Amino acid sequence: MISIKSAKNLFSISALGPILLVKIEETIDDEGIKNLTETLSESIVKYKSKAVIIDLANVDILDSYLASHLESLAYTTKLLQAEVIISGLKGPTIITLLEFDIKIEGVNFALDVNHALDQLS
Amino acid sequence: MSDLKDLDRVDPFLDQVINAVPSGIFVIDKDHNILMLNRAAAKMVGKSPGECFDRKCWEIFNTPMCKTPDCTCHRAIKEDSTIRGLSVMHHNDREVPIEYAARPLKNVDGKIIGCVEHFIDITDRLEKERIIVKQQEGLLKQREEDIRHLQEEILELSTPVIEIWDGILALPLVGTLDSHRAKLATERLLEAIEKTRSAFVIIDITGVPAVDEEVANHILQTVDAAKLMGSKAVLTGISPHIAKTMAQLGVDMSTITVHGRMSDALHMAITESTNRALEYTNVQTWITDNKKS
Repeated sequence: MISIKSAKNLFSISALGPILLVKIEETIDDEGIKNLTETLSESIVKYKSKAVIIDLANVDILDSYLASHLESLAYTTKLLQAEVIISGLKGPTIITLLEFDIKIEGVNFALDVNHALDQLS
Repeated sequence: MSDLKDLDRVDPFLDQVINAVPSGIFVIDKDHNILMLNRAAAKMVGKSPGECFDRKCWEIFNTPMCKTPDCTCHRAIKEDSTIRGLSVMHHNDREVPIEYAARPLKNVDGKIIGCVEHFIDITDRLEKERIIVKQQEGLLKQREEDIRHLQEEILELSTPVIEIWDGILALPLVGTLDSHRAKLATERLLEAIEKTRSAFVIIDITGVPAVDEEVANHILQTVDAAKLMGSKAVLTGISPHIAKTMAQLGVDMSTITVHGRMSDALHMAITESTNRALEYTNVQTWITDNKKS
């Protein structure tokens, strides 16, 4: 398994066969997100990935900024012929997303990484 | 003063009566000199009636109104009317709450020559009132507590989340959905999904009597919440009446899976999860195989 870790440990990308597993950490900042979009699109091309699982289990606060970036990330990924699944969203995070009417379109969701793998098969 | 001299000739019987009265009575002239004072009044300030004569009333009855324009007697004389009210007397560092009434005293010609004031000690009454208020507050608080408790209980009872199959949750909604209840139902559903890792949720609205735009949005939000969590939400139990209303309201249900009966939804969920489980085993095998190679 090939693993890429970002500077300051803001995220990690692991390639599992045709699937890329992206783990995002709580501390991710704007710079980190930009870096992620770049690294991820390069990795998709490099490993000929068919799907990307973005695991947010370690992220407690999902603001509109991160949400819109996830959306554009999904769009980029789609253009590279891979699908995106976001996993590990927590209850309170979801309530906040709904309350502020923040939408993440064009993405599928999964309970956890296992469930995401499950959906991809 | 000549007018007041008549007052010195008090009838002994009247004197007896005035001294027998349990509340305080005193008479002053226009210069606040005490002319007469009964036993009860003297007792309340801890003095004998003899000590009080020929002294200013404010020396004897030390109240916040003394020597101010608010002085009861001053007002009664000035306004030629009965003045009533509540105040506090100070003596020996003790506060005595009193209720008083004062009236101007007139001579035979109708000229005001002084003032008579009557007052009673209301310490006991205030104490009783305080107890009553405290009891009422206690009762109210208890009632509020009870009501709140009952409301919570009803909310708890009205939003059960049931795991009806391995990885399949049911959320039967009963009764009218307001925003508070809808929020609670959503929160509890998310908690249950997180806990049981359920991939399917069946939201049954057979028990919802009517739907308006708000309620419809609440239901859609609950479905959205489940979706964000990674669980697939299926809506069942839509009555013809509700279906009609939803169509009229133009609620967008295109993203939502709807089944007529809960059993159909359950059947679909079981079939899909069984298939998934099989596929999952395949993925696992695939991963282990790839690791080996």
